[in-house]
Amino acid sequence: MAIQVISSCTIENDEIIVNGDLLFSIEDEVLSEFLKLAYRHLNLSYPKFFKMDKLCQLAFLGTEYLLKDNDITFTDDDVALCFFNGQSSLDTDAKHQHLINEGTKVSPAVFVYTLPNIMMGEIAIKNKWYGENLLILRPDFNFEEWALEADLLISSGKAKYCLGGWVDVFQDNYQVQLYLVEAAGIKMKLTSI
Amino acid sequence: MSLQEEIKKHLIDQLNLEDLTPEDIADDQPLFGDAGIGLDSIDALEIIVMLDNNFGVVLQNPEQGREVFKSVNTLADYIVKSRS
Amino acid sequence: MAGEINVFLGGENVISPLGWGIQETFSNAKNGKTGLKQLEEPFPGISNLFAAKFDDSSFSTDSPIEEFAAESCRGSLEELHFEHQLDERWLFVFSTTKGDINHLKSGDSYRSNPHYLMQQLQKELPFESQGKVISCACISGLAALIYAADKIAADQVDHALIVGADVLSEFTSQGFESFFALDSELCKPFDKDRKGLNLGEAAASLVLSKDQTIFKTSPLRFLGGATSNDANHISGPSRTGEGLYRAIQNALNYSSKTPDQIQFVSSHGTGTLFNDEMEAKAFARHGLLNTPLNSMKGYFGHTLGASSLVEVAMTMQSMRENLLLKTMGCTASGTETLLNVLTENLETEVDLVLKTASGFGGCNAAVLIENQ
Repeated sequence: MAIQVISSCTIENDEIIVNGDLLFSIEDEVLSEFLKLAYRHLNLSYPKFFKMDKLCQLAFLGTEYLLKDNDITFTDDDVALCFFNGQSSLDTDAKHQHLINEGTKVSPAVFVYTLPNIMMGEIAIKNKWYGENLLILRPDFNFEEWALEADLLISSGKAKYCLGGWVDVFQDNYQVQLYLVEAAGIKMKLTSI
Repeated sequence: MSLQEEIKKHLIDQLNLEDLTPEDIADDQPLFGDAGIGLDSIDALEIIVMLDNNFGVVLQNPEQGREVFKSVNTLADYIVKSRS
Repeated sequence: MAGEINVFLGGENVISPLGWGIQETFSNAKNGKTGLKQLEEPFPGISNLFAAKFDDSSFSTDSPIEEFAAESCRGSLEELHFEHQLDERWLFVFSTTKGDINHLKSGDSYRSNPHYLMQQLQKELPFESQGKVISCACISGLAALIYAADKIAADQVDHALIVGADVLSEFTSQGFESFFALDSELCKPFDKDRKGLNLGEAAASLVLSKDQTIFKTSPLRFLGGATSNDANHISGPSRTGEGLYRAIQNALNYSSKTPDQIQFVSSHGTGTLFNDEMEAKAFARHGLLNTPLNSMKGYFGHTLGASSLVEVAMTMQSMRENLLLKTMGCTASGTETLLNVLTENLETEVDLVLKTASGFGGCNAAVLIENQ
């Protein structure tokens, strides 16, 4: 079996691009402001967004932009989430460690984000998706290797769709490359019946 | 600034209630649950930290939070009582 | 996973404060010992901590986790006899939540990244391998097991060595303390008086292979596994057990088994009020009320990304020795829905076991293992 890409979304260099179209950009903003403005641009009412750390905000925005004009109706366990990530939750880990080093009380709201897989939890909660979760740490993104993991999740019958790719952030450096994929050939089969 | 206003400012700041201003939160409005401003269990833990850091009040038992965290008014009462 | 390729499991090993190697660890657990104890002032701001910690004197470098994880891997590999297999396709998976997090105190984020630790461990292996790090909170170990098994079943690799490890750190201790999630005494999983969890450190490893001749001792079989998300809350366990229920259901489907065939459940059982209640609900929904069940957190503490592999390794020993371990710390089943929580060791033969785990981020995992 092989997979085909239904949609893709990249967030880098102050731009959000979905399927090749520039959907949002703003120059000369710090990352936290860029993320807030990108969220406002979606006209969502989801106050939890402001509680998330940058890793989760990036994954959340990537997914929301990617699904914005999507017309597929997913049942609740159709979608596997599979993410590659480079620097784990180290951006937030450093905040938690800083509080410890300062001798001040640590923040439960910071600590809870000191795990990279929380971003999959945020996406699952927003979309009510109960499907598979997999997070692999690696130094860089390679689409072919990610596609191999997505293919396995789909071809083994564990999911119909796989959403994921690359989300990485440390301080002001970030990169998101997300894909929604399905088994190749499904649509052709349906139309040929 | 009244104690109530001070509490609201800290709540908004600490809990990242980005879309709310102190005027949006009534003194007796429930903080948790559907009728309230939608706080959750992590927010409750964060309020415990806020009480300690900003008001010097230590909540020993998180179970107490159920009563104390009902509204801005109950938080203010607890702070006043703990300080006296 | 109705593939043509069977996935065999063996070479299970545990390095923990309860014992150095699976034999010593299992024997100590069987004799009612625990690796948990009171630590005086382990970290500033925490006056006392009931936890499982190695003696510092056990290690000679500034990376104890690298030493005990490597030791676990060596033990697993000693249980194999290699012929041509060294030249076949190997996968190496490291499962962890925080890796060598103690290096972050001095701002060394390079060595705190689990990927660095995986590479250090991989260098020591006697074969070429693809190296992966899986970090899915407290289901990391089972996620690694499922990942490796699926890769073998899909004929992408021939063999896999998986190792889970985490350390007891100020980082996680302070965090769980801020959640009021720690019991200051021995944890009491599934007991009505349970107050929270104890933290611990350990490594556990095992080998998966399509080739049962690689194992010196007769291997067990991996039947199937699944992960899921509660889609409910990032830290609070689901009140209905929905995510765990689904992970178990999918694991059963992939294994072509039904709940009544399960003879033993190795649960996650952290000892927190809400986790254990959530698990009880999910098990009850599958009709597993009378199936013997344990939690091993009372022997090891919660070893985070290592925990589910520690518990898989110990359960594999239980299957080999026909001895199920009691739930250390639990006097009697005390969740709202009562379960058959083992409060004494039980000598019995078990051929099919269910192992589950759940974690922050709302994630859950379940696997089925068979004694062939």
